[in-house]
Amino acid sequence: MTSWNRTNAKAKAKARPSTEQMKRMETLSEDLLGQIRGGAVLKDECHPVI
Amino acid sequence: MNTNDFMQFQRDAVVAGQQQLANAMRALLYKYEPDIFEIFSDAGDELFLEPLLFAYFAARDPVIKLPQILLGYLDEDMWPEETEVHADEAGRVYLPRIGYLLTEVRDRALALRWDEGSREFTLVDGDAPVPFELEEILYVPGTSIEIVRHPIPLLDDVLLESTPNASDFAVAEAQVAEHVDHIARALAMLRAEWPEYHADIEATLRQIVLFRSERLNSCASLSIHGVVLFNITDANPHDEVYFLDELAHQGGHVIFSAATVRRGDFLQIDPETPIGQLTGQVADDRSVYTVLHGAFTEYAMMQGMRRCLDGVVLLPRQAHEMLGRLAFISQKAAIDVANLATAGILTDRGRQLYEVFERSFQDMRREWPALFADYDFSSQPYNFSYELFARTHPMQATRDAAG
Repeated sequence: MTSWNRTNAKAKAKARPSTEQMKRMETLSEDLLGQIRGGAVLKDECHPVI
Repeated sequence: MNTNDFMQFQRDAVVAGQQQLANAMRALLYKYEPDIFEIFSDAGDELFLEPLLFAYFAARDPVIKLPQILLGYLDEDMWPEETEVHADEAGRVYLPRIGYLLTEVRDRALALRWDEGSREFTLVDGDAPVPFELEEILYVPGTSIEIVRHPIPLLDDVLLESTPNASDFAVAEAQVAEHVDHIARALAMLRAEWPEYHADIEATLRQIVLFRSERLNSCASLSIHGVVLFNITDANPHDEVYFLDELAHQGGHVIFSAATVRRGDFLQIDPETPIGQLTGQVADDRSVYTVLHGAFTEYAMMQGMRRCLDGVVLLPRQAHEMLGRLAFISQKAAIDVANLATAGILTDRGRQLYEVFERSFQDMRREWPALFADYDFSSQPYNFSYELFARTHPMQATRDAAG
């Protein structure tokens, strides 16, 4: 990861998200993060068998 | 909600859902990889909807690290001097938006060095140079939808961790080239006959994976959001008819995942509740959320194939197959329309969606009764088999019945 430091510096990176980004993040529910991280529900059996 | 209102709802819900998913990735990156987040804090949603980013946070022990996933999203003048990358068991290093670096080094961590002066990449193992060739990303012509050429270990891992059915999953590398035009033609048919749905596919679909497996069905997952996986193992012809069906179906899962990110807006019970507990059909262990997904994709397949049968000139064999596929999914929809009618499942918002699916289904039943009366699919497996359909419903007889 250290090799990405040069990019880090060049990017004039911000230390934290903007206020607007923070607001958007706050609207996220734990449910959504859980769905992505652990949900992994594959829709490979989504229809009934006739 | 009429059909036009529904398409507008879908459009708005997809846009909002994609933003929420991108923000979820922003939040995860900020929380768990703040150094990387700093670099990309001003990036647009396209980066945060990169499918491998979802896979990275879904996988238990991601073999591909974030710098490798995100390098292609940096402007060239921002490329770092060195990036850690992973050569997979076949010696390939996959870099999203850049391509595959083909090497002879198997299953090994390597360093990708960028020389700003010569503007060239070199690959090294320790200090030893590793020769490589760059194989470019393959896109469906005229789109930004990638057709995955080779296995991507991180996608494989998420599949394997999600379902035992993926144990024999293998990307159908040798068949990719022959299906590019089929997929392009299927998308063109959708664009011509159902432009609103095609627009939603273009807005959400990032990657198509063709694969072989005796156990895993075609699928999509929020854990690899933006990816559809099409099983091309069986004896079906796998031309534009097959891909139209699958794009409407699996693409529908990606669209609906975005549109229903807030599942509680649509379901008044735990989304993971088995539908069988509510209907009394205990053998049906699909969750209510999966059944809602199923109802949407049944609606999408019915609409997509009906419009194409009406508007596209197909070869007689292709029209016969599409008719069989339409009748097959229409009969499955009959079951799910009844399932979701069970009281106490849907919120008012969910009910509004259901009524669109139900009305579309009733229109089909009224306008095309032969789909329900003249076809017996009791011998069909879970996935439609054209070989079996052609045997049980020969082409001439079907044409006569369809009038």
